[in-house]
Amino acid sequence: MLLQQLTISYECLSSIGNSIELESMMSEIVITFSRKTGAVTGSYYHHRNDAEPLIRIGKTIAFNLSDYNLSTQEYYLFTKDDKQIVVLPLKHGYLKFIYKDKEESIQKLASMFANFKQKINLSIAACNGVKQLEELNDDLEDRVEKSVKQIRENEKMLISQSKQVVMGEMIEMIAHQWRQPITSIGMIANNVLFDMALGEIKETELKISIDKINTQVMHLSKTIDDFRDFFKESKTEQITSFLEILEGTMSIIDKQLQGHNIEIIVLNKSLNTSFYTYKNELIQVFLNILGNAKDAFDDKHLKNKQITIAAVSKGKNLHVTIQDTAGGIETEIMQKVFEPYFSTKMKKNGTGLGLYMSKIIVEEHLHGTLTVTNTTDGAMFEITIPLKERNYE
Amino acid sequence: MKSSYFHSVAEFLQSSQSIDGIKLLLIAEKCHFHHSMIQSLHMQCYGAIFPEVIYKNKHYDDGLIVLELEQKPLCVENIDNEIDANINLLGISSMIVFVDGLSAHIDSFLFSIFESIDEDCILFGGGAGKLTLQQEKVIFTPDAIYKDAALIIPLTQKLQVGVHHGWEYLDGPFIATSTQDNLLKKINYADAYDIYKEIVQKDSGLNFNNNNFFDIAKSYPLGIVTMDGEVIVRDPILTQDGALLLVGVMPENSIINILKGKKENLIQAAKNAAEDAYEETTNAELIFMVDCISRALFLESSFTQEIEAVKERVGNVEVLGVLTLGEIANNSKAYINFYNKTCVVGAICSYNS
Repeated sequence: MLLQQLTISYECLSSIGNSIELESMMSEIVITFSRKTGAVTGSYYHHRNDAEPLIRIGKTIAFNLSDYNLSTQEYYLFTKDDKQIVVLPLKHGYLKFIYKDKEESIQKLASMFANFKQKINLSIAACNGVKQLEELNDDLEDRVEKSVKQIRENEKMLISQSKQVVMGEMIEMIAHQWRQPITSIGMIANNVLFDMALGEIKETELKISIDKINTQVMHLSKTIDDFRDFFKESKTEQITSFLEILEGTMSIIDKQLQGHNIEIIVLNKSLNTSFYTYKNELIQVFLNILGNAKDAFDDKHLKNKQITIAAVSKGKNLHVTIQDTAGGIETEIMQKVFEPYFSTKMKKNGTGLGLYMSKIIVEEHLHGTLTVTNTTDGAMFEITIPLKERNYE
Repeated sequence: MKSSYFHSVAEFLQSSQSIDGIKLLLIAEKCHFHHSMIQSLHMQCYGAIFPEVIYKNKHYDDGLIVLELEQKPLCVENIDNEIDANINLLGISSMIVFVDGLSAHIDSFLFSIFESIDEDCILFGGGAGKLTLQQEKVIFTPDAIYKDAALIIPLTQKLQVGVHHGWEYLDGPFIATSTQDNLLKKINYADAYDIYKEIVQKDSGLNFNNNNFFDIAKSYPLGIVTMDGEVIVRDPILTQDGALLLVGVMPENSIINILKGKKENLIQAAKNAAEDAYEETTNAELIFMVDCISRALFLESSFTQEIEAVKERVGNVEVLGVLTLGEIANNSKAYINFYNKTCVVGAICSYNS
């Protein structure tokens, strides 16, 4: 008899706390307790006032407990017809087992169940804790998802703002590029008019002047083409080379840099390895970095204004450095230069988006890296992008 | 309940005066039977295939027993599914249940049956199948033959059931520390087969090899200890990667013993089962034995003594039955048990006593 009691105790005890999911955990308890002790039905009510059990196995036998106060005793025994009912109140709900013709052993069974009460309560608390944690986790996932969505929206907005800024800067660059040829055209036209007024105009000289005007007009036209190409959206990666990127960049900004007496030194200019990339986006990055260098020189009124651009192939990557002699970036703000809306150029209406957008372009679109460090003379931006041999899109 | 034994299906079909009436066919494994034989004749035949059948004082591995039924049996075509809502078991006070004895879903099916029947409903039955121990289609209706199925035969008569096995404690207790349905993987955290083999080889003086597992294991079943002192026997039939494959489920953390048998005790157990089922005061029409095939294999030629022991107790009442892969019975007070190596005797009694 002792072995049988130990057996049932062990088997019932072993069924407690085997799952972190409440329904599954309590289901195993109800099934094991019922079957091992020969209950006709077993049920678990999650709350004292629940009308329906969360778990029920066996026969459906009505026995209403709403008239009883189940809060004082370890367990309750009831009798109805030939049935014996054991109720085990738990911290919140209760377990109920109904037996048939078990008058002799019912007291022992109820005592045994009562011994397991604390372990059952702890297991229920553990399940509830896990459930709360899961809900919290779900909520956290929702919040992260919303935040990511918000970040994406912000990025879109930033890109849009960045484009507007670039447009503004471009107009300034176009103005620089056009100023000299327009001045030349004006001067040639005035000279022709002056000669006509003096009656000294000769056909050969007129033709030379018109040719000069045409040359300047072609230069203007080329400038327009360069800018238009730049503003074309790169939908797919194009085959290009470092040289082409550099020429595309300089065709837009060189006049502006020259106007500020900034010398451009290009090393490895002959690097013409072909690769696939988003050409105009890479040009935008170069323009941002060169534009920042120009602004840095303006702020510091330096005499020796040099920007050195070097390119080299390293394995399957193109490694480009853009190094200026503008004194470098203060250590305190070095970590922030790639953050959105961070700018040191408040007086010049800096938006603080240029380097942020450059970082996004290089690292997310071109799958490369963009970093900045200080050298002895100034700042050095390093761009590394893959030399893709094929367009995989 | 009129019954007959035929040596073959052909003999049964030739003897049938008409195709009318509902019949229960209990077919022995070696009997030549194709379901198309009854399907093509549109006969209302329901039934199952068993390793052997018992008729009067003999047991047969060939031939069939035919019983005339008053009510149409209900077939659960796939016992892994919930019982069809169209199958209403309420209002039935007694029934016989045959189930695919090698199905992995017997336990859950019997649980569903328990939930679906009246509180006072008495039932008994057993597992159909063949001694090849390969799961096949063994449960049939007039329309089809199924595996993983069950046949519920409602009775209009009163039923009294006796259950005994006669196996005795050899060693234990052990804990079934890892199980999966009817696979016993670990005993006391070690490979179940290793523990079982050591004890059985020591007691029997025989050694297991690749081909003789069931020959030795048939004499050494496992027993699950229950609260009221009853031991539910589980028959190990095969080994599988260090685990023991049983007929019937073994819940994890069950406390088990290894059992062994004496022929005289098993025969006495059958007599006790008949004693529990049969009361002279009641008007028994028929005694239906559901006896495990492995008892017959263990008892060998002495098995007829087991039938005689039952017959002796019930006098002139006709005795028939089946040798099964697992036995089913309930006492209406708790769950329906699926036994192994057990003798279940059902006394089908007229209400007019």
